[in-house]
Amino acid sequence: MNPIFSLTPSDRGPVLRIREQELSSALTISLEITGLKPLVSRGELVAKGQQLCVDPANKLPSVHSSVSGKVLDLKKDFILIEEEGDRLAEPLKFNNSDSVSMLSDLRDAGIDVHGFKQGCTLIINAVPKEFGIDGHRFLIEEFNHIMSEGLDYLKKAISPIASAIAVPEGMAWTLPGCTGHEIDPVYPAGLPPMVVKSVTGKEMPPDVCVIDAATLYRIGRTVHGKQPVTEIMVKVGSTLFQTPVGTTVGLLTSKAGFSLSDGDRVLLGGPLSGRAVYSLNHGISASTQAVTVIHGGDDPVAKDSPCVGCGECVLKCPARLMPNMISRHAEFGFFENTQNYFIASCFECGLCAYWCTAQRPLLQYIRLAKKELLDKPILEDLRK
Amino acid sequence: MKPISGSPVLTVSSSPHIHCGRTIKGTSLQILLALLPAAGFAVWHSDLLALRVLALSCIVAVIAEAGCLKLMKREIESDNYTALLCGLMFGFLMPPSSPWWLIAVGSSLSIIIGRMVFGGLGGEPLCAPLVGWAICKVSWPELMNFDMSMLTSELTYPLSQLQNFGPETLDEYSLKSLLLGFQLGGSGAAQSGAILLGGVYLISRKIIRIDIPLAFVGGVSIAAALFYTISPVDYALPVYHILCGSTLFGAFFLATDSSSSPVGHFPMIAYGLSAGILVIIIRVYGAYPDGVPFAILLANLMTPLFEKIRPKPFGGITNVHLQR
Ligand code: SF4
Ligand code: SF4
Repeated sequence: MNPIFSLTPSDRGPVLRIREQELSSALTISLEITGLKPLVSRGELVAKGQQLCVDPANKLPSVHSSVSGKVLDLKKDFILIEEEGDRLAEPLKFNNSDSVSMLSDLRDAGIDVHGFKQGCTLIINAVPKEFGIDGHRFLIEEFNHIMSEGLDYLKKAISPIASAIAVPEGMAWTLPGCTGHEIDPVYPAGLPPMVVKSVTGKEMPPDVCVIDAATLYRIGRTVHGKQPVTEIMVKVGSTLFQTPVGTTVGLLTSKAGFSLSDGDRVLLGGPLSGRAVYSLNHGISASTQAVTVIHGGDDPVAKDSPCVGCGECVLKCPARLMPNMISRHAEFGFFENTQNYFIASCFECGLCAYWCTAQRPLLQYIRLAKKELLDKPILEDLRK
Repeated sequence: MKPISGSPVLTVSSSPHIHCGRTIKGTSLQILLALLPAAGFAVWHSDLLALRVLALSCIVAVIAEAGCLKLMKREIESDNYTALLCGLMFGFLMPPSSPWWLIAVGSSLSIIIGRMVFGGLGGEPLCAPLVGWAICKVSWPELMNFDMSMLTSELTYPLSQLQNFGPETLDEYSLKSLLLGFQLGGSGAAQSGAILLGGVYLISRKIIRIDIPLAFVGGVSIAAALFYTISPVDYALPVYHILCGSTLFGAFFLATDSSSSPVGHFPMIAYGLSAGILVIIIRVYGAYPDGVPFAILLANLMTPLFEKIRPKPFGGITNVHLQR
């Protein structure tokens, strides 16, 4: 099998703590705040764990400072903080009375609770999303009790009818109170829709919540320490780091031994589903699990070429779609037509574009069409 | 954020950020490579006659494609070798003794009518080399008749022998001689053994999938076996149908043509089977001794129908997931 599709976690190596590394200057963190409202201003001193930004619409999780420091710069999308002093924010208060406030407390503590529903089936996803994104192995094996604490809180908040943990085949990972499910460790089996299918046997059922193991750990850590999580585990290449949220990818990649030059790509996440950053000053977010470096020129990039009809994308699509037809319609702006090819079933694994003989940007076309369909709903049943 | 000076300029892209490395050019090169042994055999059997046919056909196809692209004000893309491949496959179907103008006309029509009028590479509803072949076959039947055009050769055309004199004439062909290409037929298409070798190579390199060739050969065998069991004196053994004429060339190279064949395992198998069965029906009942080209053209026409056979999409036939 192609090794990039293997989801078997690697053996545990040492954990590199960024704070124990030699740094030439004070640590500067950069937090992405797109869509959020800042609560601090430039030059202000902030404490570790202090809330910096909130979502006025109460949807996105808020962002906290992971260091005690001074706000160096405040842009539309970023906050830059230089480490200084050792102030610590007031502990968080958790209101355990009702489910809605339990979830909003979590959101205020920086956890994404989007999609958590009452009375659902809760699935803890401990399968690496992509090859090498296995930093949570350390958390599950060392901090099982913290995860249990997070699970207890979550169970109280959403009272699930059942809880399960999905683990890659051969890993003896368990969580008290969860039934275990082994998953064949081949990409895309770690993506939520595939995990849901393996655990429940149903495809895209409405009443299932999937939360990944690293997020569960963060919930546990938050309710345990009454502080937002400021340090996370990030896999950079094959090195596992423990590092403050907001550490720049430039620092992480250089500590992991990468030397970058023009044309290289740095991704938050893995090569098949990650997100490229445009600057080495981009900081990792609390939910980042991996940073991947792709050196320029390694692989051909997508091309604007016509589909030759080889059918590889159709045979490789785990959602049994016809990415060739969807992309042909999307390419020429017939976004509504893509619904005849069930575009909504695509869960963006990226395999179609990975295998396309014509190197067409298939998933990119699909995403474009999805976005267009959401922004301008055409069919009645798509309107909220 | 401004990149701090001295930091590299990163490339951004949206996922997936990697590609398997398979390209149109690489695929055509592999298919060309797989056709080489058969081309070599063809040249050997025809005392260099085939070399002239194949070379001319390739050159004309490439020029025709470049000319059309120029007229359409599009970028010339001869460097993906698909036109060259199309020309070579057309040449494979032609008698080695064909006059130069026939090759030039057929090869250019393969590209123009078979491909460019449908918008170029990827648009072909029919296997392009077969389009040129069919035009020639219908327009100049005597030149396309292997027995008549190859009178000087000591070799004979087993399929017309079968059609005219019955299956017992096939006994004079040993399987080994058929595999080695001691038969008349399309210059390269008749080189069964070399074609088989090329086809197996393509499957082992995963350039083509096994579904269509297997179903095609399966269809031929099943239909031929059926006729043979009905009356062994009137009909030939399946193995002759597979090794004579262009059956294997059709199975591995023509029927698997990417844009005119269906996608998906089940449609591919249905398509291959239908084409294979049609081959035998045409050979048994039709006027043409070798049914392969027309059988594949007919199956190509059914491709849109076969493609209607689709599994249910993930999560069912609905688009409600779009809002979640
Ligand atoms: S990204 Fe492509 S392969 Fe993956 S589910 Fe969507 S259409 Fe299918
Ligand atoms: S893999 Fe690419 S070239 Fe092949 S059918 Fe799909 S879109 Fe077309």
